[in-house]
Amino acid sequence: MLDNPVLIEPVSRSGVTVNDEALTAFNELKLGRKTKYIIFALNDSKTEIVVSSTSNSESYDDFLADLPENDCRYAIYDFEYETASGEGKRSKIVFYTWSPDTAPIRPKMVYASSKDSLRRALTGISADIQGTDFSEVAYDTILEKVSRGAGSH
Amino acid sequence: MASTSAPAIYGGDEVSALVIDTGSSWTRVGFAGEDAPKAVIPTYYGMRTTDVRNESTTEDKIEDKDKDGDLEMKDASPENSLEQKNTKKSRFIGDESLHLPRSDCEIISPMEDGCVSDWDAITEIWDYALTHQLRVDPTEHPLLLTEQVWNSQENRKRAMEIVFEEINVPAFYLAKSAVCSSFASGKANSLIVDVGSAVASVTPVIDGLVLNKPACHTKYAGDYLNGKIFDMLVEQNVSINPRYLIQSKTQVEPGQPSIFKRKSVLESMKITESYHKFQSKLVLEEWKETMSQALPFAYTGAEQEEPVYEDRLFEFPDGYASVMSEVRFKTTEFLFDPEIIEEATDFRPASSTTDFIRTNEKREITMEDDEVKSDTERETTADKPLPDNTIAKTSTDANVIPSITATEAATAQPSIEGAINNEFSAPGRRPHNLGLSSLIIDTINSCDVDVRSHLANNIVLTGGTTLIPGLADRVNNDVQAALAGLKVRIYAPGNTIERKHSAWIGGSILASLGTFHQLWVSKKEYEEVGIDKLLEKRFR
Repeated sequence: MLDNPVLIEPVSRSGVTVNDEALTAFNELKLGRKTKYIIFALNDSKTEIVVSSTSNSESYDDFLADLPENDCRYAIYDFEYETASGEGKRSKIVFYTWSPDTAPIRPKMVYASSKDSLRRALTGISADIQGTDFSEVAYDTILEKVSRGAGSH
Repeated sequence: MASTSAPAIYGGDEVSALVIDTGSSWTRVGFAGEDAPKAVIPTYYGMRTTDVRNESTTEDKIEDKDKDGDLEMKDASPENSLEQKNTKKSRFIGDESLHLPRSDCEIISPMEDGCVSDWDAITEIWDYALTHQLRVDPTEHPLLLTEQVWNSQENRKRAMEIVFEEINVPAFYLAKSAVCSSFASGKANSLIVDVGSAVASVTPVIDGLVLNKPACHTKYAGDYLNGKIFDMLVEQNVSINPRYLIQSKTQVEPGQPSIFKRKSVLESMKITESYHKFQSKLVLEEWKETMSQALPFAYTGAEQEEPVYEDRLFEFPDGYASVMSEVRFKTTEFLFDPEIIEEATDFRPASSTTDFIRTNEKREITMEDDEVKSDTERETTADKPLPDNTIAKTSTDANVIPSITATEAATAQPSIEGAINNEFSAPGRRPHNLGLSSLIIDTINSCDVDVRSHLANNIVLTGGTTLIPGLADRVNNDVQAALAGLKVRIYAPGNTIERKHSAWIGGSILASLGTFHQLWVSKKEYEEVGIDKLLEKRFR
């Protein structure tokens, strides 16, 4: 008989788990292509990662506006772009850890230590972005990152 | 089974956990969930022997102490210790007690290479911090300890034994200090550059896990700098009279010899050299904190514009004052370009070791030993004849370090001499004499290509020595110049508390999370599962 659940299934460093809805929302984005981006947050008791908002807005600025200035979030963005060589549209799923320098240390810490549990639950992500200010999550920065990756041209 | 899920009751909001971060020079102690440690006490102790053999080495003292059986520990109360028998040893712990001049009192460090080397002493320091400073009963609170990445397996075992059997905590967790610092800066991926007093270390953290192989550390940190500053002051014919000597002083013009009156009480006392050095270190540290500054670029002299040195007046405790200009910058340069041949004067109190470390005479060393598992395997083979294809080393072999791993280096020099002369090295046969910037560049380059950009973009500076003005800019310039293809970003919190105690703060928040309770190791689990299995499964 196995005594302790932790010995079987390691959780993130903080022990925070991922809500099933978060996974459902991600699969809808990945397979259904109905949503453009999802923003995840920790619930109030800081025990679970839940969906904070989803949107199908085509504007990247809308997405940036949804990232709080003084708090942390995780986000998934379905990033579409034209290849430089003109071979048509490409689409990449990008994972963001939004942790602005101006956020209090506590949420920064919880988000950093819980990132792993969410990130590992999501498959098919082509880029990981760690954002501490808006320049690091700007459209051009992301474009440069995803278009450099393998199979992007 | 409900019994072993007992930790669920700890880590809740009712009982707050305790967090201890033991550094080479300061031990931070406090309650989880708070944003700064409640108590910061020196990780040094004074040891007095009324024994006539004052010249006896630290090792002798510890053996003596074992014969005595229980150690008399009367912290902060010199009156009590005066009444003790001649053969008794007394340890003096805590800021006030440590700095009080006493006859025959040696100042000793229980740390070596950033890791604990004297467990008896460290247990007392922790006990002092918990029961006297925090005034808590440690048996009622879960405890989170931080450890260095290169901490040896024996040390980790010992920590767990002491925590569960001597301090008697209900639940325990061991966290890597680099990981805590990384989380405290809000990053799951980062390169933690921790420049403390005894050790400068560079540790890549990816997804909250340490990459052991590229991680490395050197001794070119704050204490080394103190020695360099002293050498420089000697060159300028400045003699250092620490504050404890001074009864009164007269204001003199800058550059004029000092006029001061010595404390008369001290004449009848036999002040040890280690105490005098420890007090002198305080003066050097004050100099360092107020004077030191880093140049934006390495100054080579050739075809470079002479940097502008800003003058600043420094007044020594004895009243002597002098204008410092170039030296303010030149001493800091040693952090970036350590002089290997010319050793700095050592101001670090000598380390003491407990017997248990010295028993590891022979150990097998392989290149692939960053796995915890292989470490435990190595333990079991330690006493058997070594296979021919492995390199054997004895712990006395302190001079032949290059192929030794960091873990080995920590345990390999039991003598005081070793502590002064050793050169720390990193796993993977990398040069052990790198300056700070080179160490960072070297570490990034020895990581997988995929993660290099993540690391270069998230360089986190932590540790008191990184507070030297201009240091962050210098590191940025050096690293960016060497890694032209990567975007370098230095993260150096402006808040000094955050910078000095980042590992503690990270541990504090981690331990305060309601969800963290699943990760505590309870005493029951310790008893049922056993140390080896716990280390393998829970504290990898």
